[in-house]
Amino acid sequence: MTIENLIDTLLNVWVFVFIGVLIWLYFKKESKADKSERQSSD
Amino acid sequence: MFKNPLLLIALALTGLVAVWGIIDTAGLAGFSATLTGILFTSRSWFIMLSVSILLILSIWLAISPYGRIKLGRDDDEPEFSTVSWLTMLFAARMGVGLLFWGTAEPLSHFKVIRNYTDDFRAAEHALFVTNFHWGLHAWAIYAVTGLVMAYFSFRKGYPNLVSAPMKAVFGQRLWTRGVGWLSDLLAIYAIAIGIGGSIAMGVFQIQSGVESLFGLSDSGLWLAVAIFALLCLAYILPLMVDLSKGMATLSNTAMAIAGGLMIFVLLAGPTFFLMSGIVGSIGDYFYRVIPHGFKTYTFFDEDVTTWFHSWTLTFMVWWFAWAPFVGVFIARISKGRTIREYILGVMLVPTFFSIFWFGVFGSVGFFGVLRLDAPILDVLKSNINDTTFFVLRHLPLSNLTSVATVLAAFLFVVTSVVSASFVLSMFATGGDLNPPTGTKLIWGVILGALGLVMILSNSIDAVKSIIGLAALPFIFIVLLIVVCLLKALKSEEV
Repeated sequence: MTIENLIDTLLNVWVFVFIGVLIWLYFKKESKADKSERQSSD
Repeated sequence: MFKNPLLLIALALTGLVAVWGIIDTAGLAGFSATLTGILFTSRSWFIMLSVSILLILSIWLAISPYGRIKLGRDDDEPEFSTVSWLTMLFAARMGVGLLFWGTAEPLSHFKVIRNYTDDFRAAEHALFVTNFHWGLHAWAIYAVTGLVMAYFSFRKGYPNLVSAPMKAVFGQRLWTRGVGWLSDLLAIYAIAIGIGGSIAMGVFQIQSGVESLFGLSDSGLWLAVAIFALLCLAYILPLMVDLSKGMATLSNTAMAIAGGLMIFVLLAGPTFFLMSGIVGSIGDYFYRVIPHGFKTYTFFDEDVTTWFHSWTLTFMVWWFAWAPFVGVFIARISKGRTIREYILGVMLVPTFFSIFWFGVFGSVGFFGVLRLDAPILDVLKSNINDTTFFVLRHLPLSNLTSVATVLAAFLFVVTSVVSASFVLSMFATGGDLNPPTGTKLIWGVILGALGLVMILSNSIDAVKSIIGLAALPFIFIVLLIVVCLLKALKSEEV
């Protein structure tokens, strides 16, 4: 594997992880503490 | 002011880039080109996918029941009349970029595409690609960024900061504070570098105008630096005193001059050809725009890939660099409007205007190449900054129109730097709507230094890669705050 391929793979793995985190954040259930904190600031 | 670590680090970071660029301009330009080359190669699919998702998301938000939600409290009314609002949206887009690229961009694409197809098809596709760069996808980036800022600021009462949506939705956690802080810093960095590029483009454009007016051939760097010094003098005063009304007048004057130029070229040029170009490109654009957003030119040769990287990807990333700046502006003027009104206005009005603009300036260039055999492509190759003036020289009253172009470019740059200094100071002081004069002045100086760096690079390609490097991280931030918006919308009753 050349260094270019390695860099390319790492950069893309970072993107896959990022997309995974976004999906997780979207579906993550709010804890009661989060909910009450958000409602009090709303 | 000096107790604010975000401000100090942002100043240090942008100042460092400026100093590096002044000491070793070629080194910075080379570094940026190499790094953006690597990032563009491995992330082109992600950039195109992101902008397409933002466009589809905008359309969905406009037509879904969420479109009825107001950007403000339910009883808030729009601050500006619809006509003023639409005019101000024009102003957000009307900048030195349109003056610079009006003829140069469609012809640059034409030069590459004609190697693969007939001239007339190449001209059509060149106009389409130009409209693609400046149309719905660009405005989807701005619209979504502005929408998130407006929603959390006016409806939820959070400060007008990029970090606010994360703290609003996920609470004051260690990661929201850390990522939020980094997002505010990167927003400042992206805006500063983006405006630096705009200053350089404005200076290049004015320099060519002055050379054209006074018959100077290749004035070199001294004229560019003299114009730059004049620009700095012109924007320092508005930073020191509150000239908000005066700045609006200057911006409207520049806009009126640019609009007048477009109408003049339409009427004084081959009107039937230009109108046909506009009508044809409207149909072509709306027929092909969504699928083209997913096009990555994967199986083409290296020339096409390089062209795709240095144009489509660079522009898309460039819009991300401008997103916090334009987003804050369009959010600020859209308080009290519904999400549907906001998205339709922000996306459709400037897109139609761009199609008209490039329809006029691009088609007049194609008329020269295809019908008159004028040597515009040679001008494009030898001095891209002179392309607009070359076209104007072939129409009546060329001295007057060249002066008007120089004046409009000058005013656009001055108003951009003043507004950017204000937004940067606001971000750096935790969302203060009246940032201190000293902070605004410091940003004015930093923006000037960054502009000088890009002028010294003496290459529009170097300018593009330096901006690309600053803006790439911002794509991740925009997607993150979009998730915050979608999560917050789930709790809205519609």
